[in-house]
Amino acid sequence: MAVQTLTGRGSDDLIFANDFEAVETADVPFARRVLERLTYGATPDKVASFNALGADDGQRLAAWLDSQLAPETIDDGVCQQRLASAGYTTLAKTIPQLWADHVRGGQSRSQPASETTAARVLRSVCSRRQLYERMVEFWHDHFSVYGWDFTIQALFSHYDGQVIRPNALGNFRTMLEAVAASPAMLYYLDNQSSKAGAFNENFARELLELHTMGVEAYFPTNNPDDVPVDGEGLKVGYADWDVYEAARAFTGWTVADDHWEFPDQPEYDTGEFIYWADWHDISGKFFLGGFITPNQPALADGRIVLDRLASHPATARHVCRKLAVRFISDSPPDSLVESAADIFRAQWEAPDQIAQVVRHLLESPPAFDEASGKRRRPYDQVIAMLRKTDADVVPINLGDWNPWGEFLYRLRQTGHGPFRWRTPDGFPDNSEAWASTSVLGQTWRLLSRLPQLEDAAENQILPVLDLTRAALPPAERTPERIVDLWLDRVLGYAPQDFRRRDLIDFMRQNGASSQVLDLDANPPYGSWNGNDLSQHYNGVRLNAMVSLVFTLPEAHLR
Amino acid sequence: MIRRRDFLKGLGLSAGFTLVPGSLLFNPAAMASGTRNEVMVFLFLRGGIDGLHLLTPASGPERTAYESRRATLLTPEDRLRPINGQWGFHPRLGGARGDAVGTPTQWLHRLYDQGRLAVIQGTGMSTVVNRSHFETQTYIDLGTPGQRSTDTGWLTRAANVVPGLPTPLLSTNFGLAESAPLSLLGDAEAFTVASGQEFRLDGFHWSWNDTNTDLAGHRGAHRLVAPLWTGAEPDFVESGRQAAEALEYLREIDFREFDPVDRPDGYRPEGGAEYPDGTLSEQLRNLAQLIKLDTGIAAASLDFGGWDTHDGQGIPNPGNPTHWDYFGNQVEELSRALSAFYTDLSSSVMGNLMNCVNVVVVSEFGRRVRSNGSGGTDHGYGNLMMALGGRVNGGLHGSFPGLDDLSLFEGQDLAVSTDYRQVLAEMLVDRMGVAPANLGEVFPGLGGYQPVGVFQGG
Repeated sequence: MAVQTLTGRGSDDLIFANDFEAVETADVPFARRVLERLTYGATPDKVASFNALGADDGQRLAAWLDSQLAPETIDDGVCQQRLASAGYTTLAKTIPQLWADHVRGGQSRSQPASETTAARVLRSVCSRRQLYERMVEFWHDHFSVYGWDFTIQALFSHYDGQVIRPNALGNFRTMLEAVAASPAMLYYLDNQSSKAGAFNENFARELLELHTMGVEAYFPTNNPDDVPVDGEGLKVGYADWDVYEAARAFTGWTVADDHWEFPDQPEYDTGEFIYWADWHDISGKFFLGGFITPNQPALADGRIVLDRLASHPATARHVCRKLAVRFISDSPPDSLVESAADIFRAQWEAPDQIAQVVRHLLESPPAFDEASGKRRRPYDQVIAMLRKTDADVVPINLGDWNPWGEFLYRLRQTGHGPFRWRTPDGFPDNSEAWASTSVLGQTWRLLSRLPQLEDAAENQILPVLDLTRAALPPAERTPERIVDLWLDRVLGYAPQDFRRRDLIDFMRQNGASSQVLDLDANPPYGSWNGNDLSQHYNGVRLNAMVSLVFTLPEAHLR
Repeated sequence: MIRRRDFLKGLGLSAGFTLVPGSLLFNPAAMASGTRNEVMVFLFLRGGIDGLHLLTPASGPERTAYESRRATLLTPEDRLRPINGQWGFHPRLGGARGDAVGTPTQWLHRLYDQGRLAVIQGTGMSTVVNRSHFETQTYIDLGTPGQRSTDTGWLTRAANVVPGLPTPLLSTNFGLAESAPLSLLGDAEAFTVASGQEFRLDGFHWSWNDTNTDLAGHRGAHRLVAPLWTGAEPDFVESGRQAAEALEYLREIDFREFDPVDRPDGYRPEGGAEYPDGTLSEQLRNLAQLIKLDTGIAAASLDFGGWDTHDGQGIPNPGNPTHWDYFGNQVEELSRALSAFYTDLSSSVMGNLMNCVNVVVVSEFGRRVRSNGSGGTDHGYGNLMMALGGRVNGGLHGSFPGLDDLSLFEGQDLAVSTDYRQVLAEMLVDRMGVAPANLGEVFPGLGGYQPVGVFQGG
């Protein structure tokens, strides 16, 4: 053998240097930038359809947004068929059904949460309503609930299906009340046990700090007079005082959970939201600089609080900044946040308020600047690999290790398993938070495993070998062509040159980068060939190389 | 920021380098070349532990004031494990749920009795009042109460003023957590690992997963990752290189617990230490292993969450093994994990390593003295801290601010009599050798250094 060991990079290696053809590092094409940012991963066919939408980038983006912001107009039959074929039984259940079956009855408590997670993965991969699915994820992070809590897990499919999903591109005020009255949030932040005279402030505090005005509007004082007033006469922020008053406003918003103080009748044991007047504090309140007079009708105190919050400038800024951070950059321009907040506020009663705000943000000039540099979070990274390998993902038999139990377990280990953030601030969205050794290591660990996952019939779930063979006739299956095929498919542009060479080195082993690899023998693994590593288990070496492409620094950008 | 020992820098660029094998751990003689430096362990109880439920007035005027406010979440005197005439620990600090109060104390309570655990009462942020988890946690981790935009964590800055830090194998600063702790913000060299054993690239097909030494030139696919993360672009490439190097290094160490048949290379805790189940315990065990390996760790940050007890906090009922006692379960897990860590390190054949390991336990705020209507407690202000180590002066420290109407802060919360930074500052000065004049770099705006008497110098 000419080369006994791989001592390092290809540039030091004679065989390699002789037949290496340099590729220029190119700019990321506009379609890639849009689709990597706003979907769960661009594929060559999605890039092609985007490019067919108009004559220039602006037209194409506008047409794409027209369609994506009206998701009901997109035919998603294929994905819905896959969802139906999975046979999930809890997604369509009402709260009383979930309560009867999974809380009071003997059915698995965690099944609604695990099926919701599986459906989330399935839709992220195959739904054509990609921006909508991204927005669903955004709101789950914003109104974050730990989906695997002992009680909440049994109701979680309702929170996803009836609280978050119907409102993801709709009206914020509507969603806010749906959240406040959802059994999942009532349990998560303890409002279900908040009573007059001994209120529980947990929900009220996070409502102000996280869901609406944001901690940047918090004045840590018990005196509401310490909070200044703006030009419109509105308080510019909130004090501890306002938290306590809001908590009083929501006393009595609870769950029909057979509490001993409720009548001993079946309608008080359904798991549904109820307003229990005996627990409500009827005294007057002073919230955000305005009185709420005593003895309001049922639910009115809480609704007045939600109205004041949903129409408040601080809420508009807080939500718009989070949207801009999600879709544009870790530090979006203040002017963009302000102009989006103006729309958010002016349209606070419009049924498509959120879609209007999202369109404004995404049609702004900074939206797809090269410089924004958002990185993929682990979930994005994993789903992107499934999408870009055309995997037909229908997670079933979730309780079995092989393959979906293992998949979900390893996804959880990345720190980004869906609905698994424990505190109410939701998964962080700044790139730094996901740059730890632990997160990167666990993400790469799952990426290394994905191409080896097999279904019950022992077919690999990621058709890496089939895609490669279909794209390249046998005579063209050289290490160089194979690597370039996958770089183009995954990135759509050339990465730093030495990284491409490293990948070719791995594919070729002791052979030349132009030597044809046998991908047909003993698929999908290939065969033992200890004497000639260039033909040693070619199929699974290809799998490993594809995993390595997804671990490239360039593949972490979105 | 401390540079690592050079050989890791060459990772992936040369075929022949070897890493420290796990078996080194069991060969104490091989440790002789190590520096055996002092280590700070910063354990954050996320959510706001109810300090008053952990250390409760047992008699006297504080007991009277306590009983008048803790109406629904009151621990009866005879369920406390008394430590003096006035105070008693939650019984789960020193016993399991089924252990009656009279049974011998175990774990942290026992270490308290032995003078190795200090409890500092009336701690918190003396300069800032804030009842938001996220702001207060941020302030404490950054070491700058009132300032959330500080771009470095307190441990990051501490490493700049601790004299004579070793040149570490991996890093002087470790986060034992899933995501990088804010206390280490701005330290590009810090390593964050949730679990030593789970942290390895092992998903490739077996034929390319590990290096097959029988095949000339064969290398496992995992060895490609670090080279892919060399170069200068994109700008976050350094974080990936850190991760890739850590993967290669930790892959060589078996972090699982020793078993004579199944895991002969596994880790064998010393002194009969029994680490309980749970993430905190596993992370402390991993940390003990890394300390024994003498990799040059000087600071470790760990979290233990679940203390935000707005609901169903639970009243202890020692001796009743089925009684609802959420808070007690948390306390027992904390107590057993820290006690195992102490035993493991203090009984090492390499000597009493707890003489150079210093644990400080902190939480973001105390909880409202008055309990709420949900069997829980809402966000408050003053709290307590703990310190554990061979060079800790055990016992009660600080001054208890009082539970009577005049003493309570804003009429509702325990006040703060000792700024939490003073306890950390004392660890820096007495244990890490930081000059008091340099404390301002770690804790800007601290004002004067006021030792609390928790740590022994020298």
